[in-house]
Amino acid sequence: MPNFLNYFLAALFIVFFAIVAWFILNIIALKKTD
Amino acid sequence: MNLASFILSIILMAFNLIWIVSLPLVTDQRWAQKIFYIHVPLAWVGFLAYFFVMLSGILYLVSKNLKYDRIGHAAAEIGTLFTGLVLITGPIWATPAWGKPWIWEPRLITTLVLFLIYIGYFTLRNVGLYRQRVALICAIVGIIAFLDIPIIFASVDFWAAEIQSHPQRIMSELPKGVFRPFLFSLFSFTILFFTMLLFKIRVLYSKDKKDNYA
Repeated sequence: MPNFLNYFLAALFIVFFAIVAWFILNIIALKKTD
Repeated sequence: MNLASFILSIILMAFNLIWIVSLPLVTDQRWAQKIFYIHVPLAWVGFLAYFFVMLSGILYLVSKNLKYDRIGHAAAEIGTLFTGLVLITGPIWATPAWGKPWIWEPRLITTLVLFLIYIGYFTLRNVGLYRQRVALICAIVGIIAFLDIPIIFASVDFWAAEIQSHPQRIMSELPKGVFRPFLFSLFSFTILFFTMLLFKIRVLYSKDKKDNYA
């Protein structure tokens, strides 16, 4: 029986990178206006 | 961004991840079941963010203070990011659980509608109207869009049980071993939301200040 680990890792990495990318984009936006 | 809340968010999310990974595997879904600890808190934070959009929309209409428009804008952006992630992590879980990534059932459709409403909300923000007009329209859209959230919550009762794929009363049926890490995950994501909200409000304030609106 498959353990579906790849599905969990896919969800985890997508959420992680989306939030990190959001922070990076907003730090850049803040640097531009500050 | 408040550095202390940022560090607290990182620590909480790290503990959250360790707890989720160390939980025993469930018989049928195995690792796929653990997506639940990410997917549901993301949905909760998305709805919380949209509640802030609605609240700040009302406050803007009453006071006409652009401060409330910035709060609404910040909450809407985070809400849309998290709702988008809900719509991605849901199908990732559904593929092994239901055998297909998407089923046209009430809760999925109403969540997709909410996401699309907010795509429209950001289109309006960038349409090129003057600042106060954008704030006024977005406040009204934010209030109206929130009406979809009670519909999402009640969607499992609104429509016939035969067409539902989501559980009817999941919270009351959760065993203790699942409920505690789930609550902790909800708490961690909520702290992360407030950290992101404060940071985004600061970014928007800085932009308004540069454009002489603050």
